[in-house]
Amino acid sequence: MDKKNIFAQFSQIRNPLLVLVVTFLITAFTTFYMYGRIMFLRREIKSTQDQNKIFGDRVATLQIIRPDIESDVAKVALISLPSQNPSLFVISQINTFLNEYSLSLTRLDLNLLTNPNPEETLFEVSISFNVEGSYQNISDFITKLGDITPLVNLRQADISNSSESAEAIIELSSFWSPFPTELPPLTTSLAGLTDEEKETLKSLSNFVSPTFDESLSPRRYDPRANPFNLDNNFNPEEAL
Amino acid sequence: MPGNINLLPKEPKKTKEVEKATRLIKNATYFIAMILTIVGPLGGLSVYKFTRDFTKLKVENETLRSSIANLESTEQGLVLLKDRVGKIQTILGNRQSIAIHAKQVEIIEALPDGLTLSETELKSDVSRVSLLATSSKALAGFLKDVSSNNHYLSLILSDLSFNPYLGFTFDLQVF
Repeated sequence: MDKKNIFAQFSQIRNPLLVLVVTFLITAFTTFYMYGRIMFLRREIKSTQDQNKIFGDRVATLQIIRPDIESDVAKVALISLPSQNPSLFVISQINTFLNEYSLSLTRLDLNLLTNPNPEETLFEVSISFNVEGSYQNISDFITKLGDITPLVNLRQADISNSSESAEAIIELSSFWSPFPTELPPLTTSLAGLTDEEKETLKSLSNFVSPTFDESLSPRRYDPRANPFNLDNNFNPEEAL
Repeated sequence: MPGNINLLPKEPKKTKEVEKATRLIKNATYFIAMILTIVGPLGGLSVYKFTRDFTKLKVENETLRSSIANLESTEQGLVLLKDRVGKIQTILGNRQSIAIHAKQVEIIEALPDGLTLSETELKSDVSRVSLLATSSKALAGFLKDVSSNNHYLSLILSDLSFNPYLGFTFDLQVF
């Protein structure tokens, strides 16, 4: 077969071949485009569904927990472990119960304890003091320290008893921890309070919190009259 | 007489191979076109459906985000509360001294006649009650009572001594 003949034969199938190629290209493009688009949408749908599930759970958790968060029990947790050094509140509590148990304070020392673990965000202050009174009252006082907020840990309690009275050297440590500064990422699930945590909060509600005087209300400032601000009608000669 | 002159080139006669190839190409074209007619509308419908579902989910997503934003103060409260409670549990878990003090008090409150308290000591690893017994009978009776009580993890009698003017002095290590 000569070249001329081959060319003539090819020219006879050129048009159908062109149609085939064009059809193939359109089909391939359409198929790949559709497939890619569908796969993309399915991935996005799956990802959004997962996200919506997490968000839905988060909203449900937050709506369920809302009354607990706004309750007084939550406030007790903040008083039990404040964000700043609670020494003053603890001393106030000690003072209250010293009066209640008719004990006298003979020494009081405060000492900031170094944090052994720098990554730990729980800080500790030592409050050491001596008290005098009856053994029974000192003992009841020490027992009471276990039920006060801010929370304290009894580090030392040495009681010397005599026939007249007893004297105790008591050392407590109290704690504080800065508030967390970051919220968990929105895409992570948010757990509510566990039963154990609820039980802890419930037990804290039985603790004695320091009393804050809320009876004080801001007063209107009345500037004192200026004795040198003379009335325009004032006549010094008449006054004399 | 003029003859008929055809100036158009003659269409070359199709050989069998050409006809076969043409038929094959046409069939392939029909097949591919059929695929396109199926894939095109089906794909289009699927893309439409998935796009609609995705839009719905996006709207739901935005609504949920907005709800979360409205509940942000509650979320902050929850994070704060969980942080506090976790640390409070650690503190409460490390508080054994008050419980040991209660055990010391239990011993002291149950002291029979003839026994008096001298002093108590309580530290992280020390829990000692120093007592004075005026007679050996009182001492024996007390030790019998206290040793039969299974409230204590450990009860060790130490430093027992006798003074003719005071009586028996002894220490109990209570845990």
